[in-house]
Amino acid sequence: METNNTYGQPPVGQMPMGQPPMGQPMQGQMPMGQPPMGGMPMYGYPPMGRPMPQLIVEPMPKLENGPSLLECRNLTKSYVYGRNALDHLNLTIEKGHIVGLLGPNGSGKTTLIKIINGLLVPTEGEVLINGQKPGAYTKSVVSYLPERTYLEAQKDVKSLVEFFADFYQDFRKERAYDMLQALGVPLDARLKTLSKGTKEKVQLILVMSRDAQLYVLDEPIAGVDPAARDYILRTILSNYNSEATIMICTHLIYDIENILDDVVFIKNGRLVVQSTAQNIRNKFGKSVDMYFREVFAC
Amino acid sequence: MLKTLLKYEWKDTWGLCTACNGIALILSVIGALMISLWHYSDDKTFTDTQTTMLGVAFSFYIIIYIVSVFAVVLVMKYYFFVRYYKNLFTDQGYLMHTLPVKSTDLINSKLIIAVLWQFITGIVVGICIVIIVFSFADIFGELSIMDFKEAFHDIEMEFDEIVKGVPLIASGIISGLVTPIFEILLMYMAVGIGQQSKKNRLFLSVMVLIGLYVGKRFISSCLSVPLQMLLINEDVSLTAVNVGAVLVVLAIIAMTVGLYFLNKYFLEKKLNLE
Repeated sequence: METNNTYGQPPVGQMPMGQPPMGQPMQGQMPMGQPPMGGMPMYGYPPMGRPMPQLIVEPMPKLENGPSLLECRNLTKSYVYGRNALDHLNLTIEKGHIVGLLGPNGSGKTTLIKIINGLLVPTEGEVLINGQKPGAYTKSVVSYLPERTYLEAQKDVKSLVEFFADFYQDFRKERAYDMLQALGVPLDARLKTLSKGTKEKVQLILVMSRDAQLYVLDEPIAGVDPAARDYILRTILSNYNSEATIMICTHLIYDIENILDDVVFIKNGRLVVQSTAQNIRNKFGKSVDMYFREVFAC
Repeated sequence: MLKTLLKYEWKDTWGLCTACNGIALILSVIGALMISLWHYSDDKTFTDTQTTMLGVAFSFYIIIYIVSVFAVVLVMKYYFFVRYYKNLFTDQGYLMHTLPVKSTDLINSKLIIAVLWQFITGIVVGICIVIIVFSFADIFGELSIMDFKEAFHDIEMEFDEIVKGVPLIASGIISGLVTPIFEILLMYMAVGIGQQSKKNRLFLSVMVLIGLYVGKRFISSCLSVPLQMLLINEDVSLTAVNVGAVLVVLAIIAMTVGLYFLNKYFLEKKLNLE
């Protein structure tokens, strides 16, 4: 499958999974403590007290007229008992991209995803999907995979498929059954009887069996073994509509960076980097994973 | 989409609610059988020891029976309270709130099914009482369907003497229909307030519910006491009684509508699925 790749990046799927981008060393080849570009050691770089990295925002080119697929304007989320999870975040995502939403723990990624899906209400600012605020319409075009098991454990797999088919007009039942069969998941098995990994696969299958415009996947490969990760990434790549956008939020950048068209870095609820993955590699001479480690070094 | 939500809500609640109501009915039938056995014991079918044992068992059963019927009503209420919380404000909420439906559809589907089950339970409890009452009628030979008819007729005659207007009766019927809706919305409101907290949300919801119930009792006393005073005061005209009853019902309806919109506000503006 080819993506709407507008930046000259190799089409998704041509770059073998698990391989680093061209010209980059395999992860682990560079001994710990070695500087990425010479000079300072990789871990512990940059030094403590380093100011926020310079803001790099390269807006995505629009493929068509009309509203952007996702637009966050001045988005702020404050909690009564804590700091701002999002702090006047401005972000625009267009159609036809695979975007990695990256950031350290507590950077506001999940808060942003929840606001996009209408699970949290912003304190200030707004989020628009195809020009509309989160509501019944936006939920019909956004397919969301939360980082937790959100399906009723008592229900069997078949009734969950039927549930999705009843509510989402863009749900492709046959596609879901095909994938479940390929995985060997018994349709009459209750969710609670399945292993954690299988549950996550069932959830992903349900989410990816929709012909949505925006897929929002929160930690889709966390907590599963490497073989399952490959399966999940293959499932994502082989089932999404090439005009749709996939937003993947994860810490496991190394595992997904080869499928990313774009990356968005968030820190302390603010946008730090928005660029193509290829530009990061070209500009900084390192993989997205390494660049992430540099930007967010503790 | 409301139809689909209703379908799933009914499907999900059917099992436990049917079981609860079924248990109440079965207990009533067993109770009726025990009462009949006790009745036969008077005919010297059993020895004195057996009669005593049966009497003890019967008394014990009646206590269990009354507790069970109350428990069924309470379990049903608590079930819908917890279901609303679990379904919309825990992990399951991630699914329910990302369905392409309006927040009002979510409230409506849960409210309609919960109220429907409250009515069904009300009817079942009524049947249970009738079964037991008629079983006692067998023993004492003082009650029959005719006695009930006469009793109702007497009430009717007396009622006619007190009030000859429709508004009071209509107000009673309307308040009987609206009150279950009000109570369910009150539970939902408690959940809505409780989920604003970071931790112990269910516990906080229960505490808020208790507080709301106390508030409700206070308000309903404030509303009903003056009406009862009007009813027993012979100097007060029928029109005044009718007006009082209608005002009370209007107040209940207004509070119910207010609660509905507050719940909608909590789902739309204060949703907090952290």
